[in-house]
Amino acid sequence: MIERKLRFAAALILAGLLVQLITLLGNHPLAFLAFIFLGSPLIFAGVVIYLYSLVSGEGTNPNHDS
Amino acid sequence: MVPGLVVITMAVVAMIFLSPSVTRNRGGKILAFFPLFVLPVIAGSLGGWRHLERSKETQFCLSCHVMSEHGKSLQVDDSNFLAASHFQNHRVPPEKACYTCHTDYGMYGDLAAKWRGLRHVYVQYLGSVPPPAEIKLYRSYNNRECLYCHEGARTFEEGVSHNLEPTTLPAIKSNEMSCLASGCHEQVHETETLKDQKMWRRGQK
Repeated sequence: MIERKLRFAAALILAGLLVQLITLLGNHPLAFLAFIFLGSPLIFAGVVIYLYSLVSGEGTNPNHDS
Repeated sequence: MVPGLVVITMAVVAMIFLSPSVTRNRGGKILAFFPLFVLPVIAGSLGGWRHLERSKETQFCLSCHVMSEHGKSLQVDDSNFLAASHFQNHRVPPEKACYTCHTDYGMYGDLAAKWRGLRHVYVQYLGSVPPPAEIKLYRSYNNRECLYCHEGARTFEEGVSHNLEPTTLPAIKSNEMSCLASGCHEQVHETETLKDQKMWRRGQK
């Protein structure tokens, strides 16, 4: 379950970073807006999901803990 | 530098995406903290800072079609045109000409400028765009923005027209007498007259 969450978080962060990369190629108000309203929320959501997966305890499995 | 960091971050995050099983043990979870938290936060912050800096560039402001006439007004070959003489004589940094004069030199000036910028984008894409000659400031231009550079300068403090009356200079400094509306520096962009103006080109005499 935690792996699915991590994968989802990574996908959101990847999408956000991709948007950020594309917007950095152009110097236009729309690029700025895409970064603010699309790229940043995607990265933020990915980070929050990652942090939530850590504290939610779903991955706490003593058998896997080395 | 920032795009490079973004690409590196994407590569590391992609590794987690392709094989999330590396995070199965405690060491893996700690390892994932960097690609899924530290690096994205750093890359996102640097990207935001880069965007904010680039949004101060003259090219950024003039990238909207409605601003093209104001951009042309920077090239007028007439020293009475305030914006042109400041731009051409580097009284403002040419690469940040719009921002230098149209930001507020108050505590939250940058933030206010960005807020107005969002409003401009809204009008550009969702509102009705006025002709360049009808574009007006939201409120009258504050002398504070002029005084940020000119206050204390000899030509300003000792200028003949600024000292015709003993009350003139204090009135300018207190914003009671506008630099622009007092009949002194009233020609700023004057986009409606541009077709009749001679234009200056860098390197041409």
